[in-house]
Amino acid sequence: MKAVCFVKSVPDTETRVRLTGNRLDKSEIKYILNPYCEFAVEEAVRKKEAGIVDEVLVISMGPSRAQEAIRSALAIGADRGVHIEDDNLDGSDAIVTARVLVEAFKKEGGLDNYQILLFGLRAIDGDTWSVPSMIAELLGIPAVTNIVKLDINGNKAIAIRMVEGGEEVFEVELPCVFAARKGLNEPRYPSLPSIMKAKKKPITRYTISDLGIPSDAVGKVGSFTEVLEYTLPPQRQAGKKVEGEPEQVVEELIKFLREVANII
Amino acid sequence: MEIVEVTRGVWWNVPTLFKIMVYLLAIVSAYLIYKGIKERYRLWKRGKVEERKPDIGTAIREVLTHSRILSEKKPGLMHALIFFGFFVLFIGTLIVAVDADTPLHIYHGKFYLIVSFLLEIAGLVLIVGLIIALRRRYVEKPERLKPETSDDYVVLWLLLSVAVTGFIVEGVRISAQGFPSFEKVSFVGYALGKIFNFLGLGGSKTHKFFWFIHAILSFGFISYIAYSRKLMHIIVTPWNIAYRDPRPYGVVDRIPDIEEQESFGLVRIEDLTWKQLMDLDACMGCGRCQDACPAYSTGKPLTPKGIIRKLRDHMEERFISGRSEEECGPYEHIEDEVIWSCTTCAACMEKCPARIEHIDKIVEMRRYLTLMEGRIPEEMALALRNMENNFNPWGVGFASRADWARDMGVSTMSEKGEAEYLLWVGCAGSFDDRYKKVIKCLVEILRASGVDFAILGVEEKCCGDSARRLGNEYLFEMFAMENVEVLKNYNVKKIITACPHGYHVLKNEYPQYGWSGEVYHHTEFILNLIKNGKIKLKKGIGYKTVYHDSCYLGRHNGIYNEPREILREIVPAAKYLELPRNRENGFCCGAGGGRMWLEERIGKRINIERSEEVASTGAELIVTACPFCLTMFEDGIKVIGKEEAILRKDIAEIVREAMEN
Repeated sequence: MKAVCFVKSVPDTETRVRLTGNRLDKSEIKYILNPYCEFAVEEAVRKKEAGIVDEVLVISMGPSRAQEAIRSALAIGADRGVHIEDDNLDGSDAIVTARVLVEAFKKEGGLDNYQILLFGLRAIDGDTWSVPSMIAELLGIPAVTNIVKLDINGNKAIAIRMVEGGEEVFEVELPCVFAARKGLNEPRYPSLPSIMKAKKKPITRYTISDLGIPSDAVGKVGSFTEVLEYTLPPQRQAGKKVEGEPEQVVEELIKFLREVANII
Repeated sequence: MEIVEVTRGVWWNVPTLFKIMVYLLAIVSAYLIYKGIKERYRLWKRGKVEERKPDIGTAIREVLTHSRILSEKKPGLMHALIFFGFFVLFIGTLIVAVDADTPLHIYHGKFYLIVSFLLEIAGLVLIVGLIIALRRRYVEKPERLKPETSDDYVVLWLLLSVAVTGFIVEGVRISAQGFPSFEKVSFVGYALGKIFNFLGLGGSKTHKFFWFIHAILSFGFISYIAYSRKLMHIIVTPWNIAYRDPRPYGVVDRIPDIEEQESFGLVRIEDLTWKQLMDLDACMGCGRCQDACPAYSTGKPLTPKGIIRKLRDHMEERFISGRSEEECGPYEHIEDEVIWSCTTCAACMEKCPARIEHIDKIVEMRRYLTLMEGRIPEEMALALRNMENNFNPWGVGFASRADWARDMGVSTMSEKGEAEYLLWVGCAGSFDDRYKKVIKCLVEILRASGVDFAILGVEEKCCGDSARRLGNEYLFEMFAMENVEVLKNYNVKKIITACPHGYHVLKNEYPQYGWSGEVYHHTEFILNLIKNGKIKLKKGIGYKTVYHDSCYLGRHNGIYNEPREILREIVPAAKYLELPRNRENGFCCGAGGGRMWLEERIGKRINIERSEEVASTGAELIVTACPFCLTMFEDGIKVIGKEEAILRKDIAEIVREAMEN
């Protein structure tokens, strides 16, 4: 059995987001492997270490920096990478991303080769939470998202999914998409020999033409949605202190919440 | 009047057979000692190559003055008595040998009388020392001497029996020679002779018997030296002192060509260098390191002596018992928690009379855990990732490194082009809200003194101290190389920093990467400003004040006086107190060696132990000169409920408040 992890390169969580006009200023951003993807890769590698999986493939779409994210995944213990890089992809939305990833996946043998498809529940930059389910839909296979436990048993998997106030336990037939959340595992700190080895592991590069995708099917042109503008959240204002007698204070507070904050 | 020759006659009453036996024993024991040393030497040679130059002068000085040994009075005195007693007797034996085996018959007349008297004293001194030692073993039983081996006892009893039989032989000889009056200089022997005479045992037969016993015991002792772990120190320790690392404590070496290596840190015992292996043999187990160790004394499983002993046992099981590296590894008896407990405070190294270097071995073991195994505490992984992604262990976005400086208008090197001094702000000064205040004070002090300085701003990255000491040499090297490049870019020659860890790394470790220059800790720099009249201070802190020595400032870099001199300018003498453990004996805050980023799960927290010590003096103000120490006190003083009673300040804050200009 083989596993594939779809990963994304994202800005570090502590990045100070700055805008140039209404576009993201990417000059001072440090990119990392999306933390949720790390859970996915760690899980796949653990399955490999447990002898359940023979190969872990990592697929990422993105500019050249996506390679670093792939290398990080290889350092955790994945075997090889696929990197889809093409200038035309800039501005692609979730569904386009899903389609491109599916084409790359098919090029690697698709469901004939890979039965466990692992994702991070969400990418911490775009935060659409949608690509894993879209890919499941495009491939016609089930998806269990938000999982905290994954047991593989022959052709079946038992996955525990977190829901509000409890857990759902799923038994699914493979192949299946799984989307990892925090709690699935504690990603390892890769050893230096693993990091060094990762530098020598193969990464296959595809452009969209390698995948047989026309350029008008991707990027802004091919997408259903378009980002029109980025705005920063309002600067945090200094707190307002309401003083006086209790009755007076309450009245003023209610007035504030109604008229200024528009909460009640 | 009968002319008596004033000498004892070295071979008096010794049958030829015994005489031959002595020479044979001398040859045999010389051979055994040679063989024993050669065997240990062979073990050390299995370590890696390391360039070290011997400093024989220091070794001789430390042995003869006992400077380190006497830093603890009672055990120091015990050792001094045994050593000097033994040493003088050894010289005496050489004199006798010269008299007996060369044409130089020096051992008679006035010289004989003086030497005899001195040897008499030496014998007594030795016996007194041995009795104190036996008392320690049998009565006092200090914890630090454990675990004991039979060797510890054999050595003492053997040496005592040599000394006592020596006196008996002398006494019986004097008796058998008819108590010549000049022999009264040998007052112990003379008195013993009288007793043996009274018991009817004062004749030449008894003398022959005891002479034989004394000779056997003496050569037995000599032969045993190279086979006794304890006695081995007589030979190895002076060499170990001579070959000590002359650099400040805890300077860690590079892993050469790290990208080309396949194994990192102490994987197999052969990964240690010959000097590191010799260290293992230089330990006689006095346990001073253990008493001084902040981890041990707060209930952690680490004992520096224990680590050295376990590594030595392991060296022997590998190289002597011949077990393969697959059969036994160094970590079978050293748990991870032991290795993570160390704060690299160097209290052990400061105390070790043999100058054993503990920190480098701990770092080698941490390199193994971190780089080879990735077997690290969870919170450590977080700190390392923070350093990797945002170039500071707090993990605050790197772009905000110089935010603190914005309201103050501090220029960066890139804005200014050049400045006489670089102010190395460090991660704490840049990201820790508490220490930002200290850096602001320092900036005001520098400005008021007219110092031309700039900062690197976002071009500054973590110095890598914690990464290196937590064993992540790869990450450290990345920081070192990038920082060195920036320093060279701006042609930086002089650096001021408020962080002892940055100070240590910049000053003592960055030369490994090609940058060296003048590095000043802010205590050094401020003191100079005061001395040059650049800042005027008013005396008058009303608080009872204590100063806590940062390990990386004090023990590692010898900066003890500067902060105290500054405080003397501000704090009235009557208000200044010293902590019970100060200067070389300073007690770590608990945050060194990367422990700042690790949870302290076992035993008592070190900062609480130290905070209680501060409180015990009745201090109202604890002054530090290190961001880690300050954090540990901010926390520790609160935990012990003294938040209102004891103020916590960095020395820069004290100076800023006391400044008149």
